[in-house]
Amino acid sequence: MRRYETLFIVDPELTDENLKEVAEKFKNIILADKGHIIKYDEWGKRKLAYPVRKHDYGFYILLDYCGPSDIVNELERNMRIDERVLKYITVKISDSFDQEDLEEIKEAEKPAEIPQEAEKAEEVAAQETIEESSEHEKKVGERVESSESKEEKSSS
Amino acid sequence: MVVRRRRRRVFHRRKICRFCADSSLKIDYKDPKTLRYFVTERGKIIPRRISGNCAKHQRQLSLAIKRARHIALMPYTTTTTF
Ligand SMILES: [Zn+2]
Repeated sequence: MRRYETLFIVDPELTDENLKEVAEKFKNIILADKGHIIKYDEWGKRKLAYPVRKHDYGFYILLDYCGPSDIVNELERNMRIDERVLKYITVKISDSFDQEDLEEIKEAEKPAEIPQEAEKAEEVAAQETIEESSEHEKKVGERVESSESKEEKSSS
Repeated sequence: MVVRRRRRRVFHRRKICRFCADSSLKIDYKDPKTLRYFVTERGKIIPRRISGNCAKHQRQLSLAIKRARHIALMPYTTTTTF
């Protein structure tokens, strides 16, 4: 597998619903071609450095994905024939990208979720007696620590 | 006269590559804010004899600027007439 990113500009006059539909369409093309989406990032409406097909503004969307090399051909072919897409550019980020790399990225995203869980657990603990809640917090702290050390192992 | 010219040359040569000096400064076509320092007001790429960039980074920079132009993050030329 290889990792690519495609930055494309969608007609900013589309309704939110249409915009979502365009984004879904290209996401599905990637998924249908045995690709995985690593990151989907809507930059939003921006002023273009020069007018494109009489548009002064464009809605930028960045797709970060991995998959077999023919995935780009298929994605770009569809963007070319879709009139809602004003422009696109694809850049190869990595020549070799495997399942392990994908897992690693997914793992790296996890820490953002753990503190939320810990917060919820603390809320519950607050309803219990003080002694018990302090014990609980300790456990939560331990859990966070252990998950961090696991991460270090996988990234090394 | 001759001495003065030589001095000016030395001054130009003293410039160092900003990307070599600051490794946190990344060259990315998606970041026109950084790229803008390396084009003229009209949008032309500043040659490295003036910017002081090393060959390697100038190559990466010009590629990034060309990509940014293609996706309309940077202008090919500014349309304002002087
Ligand atoms: Zn350099």
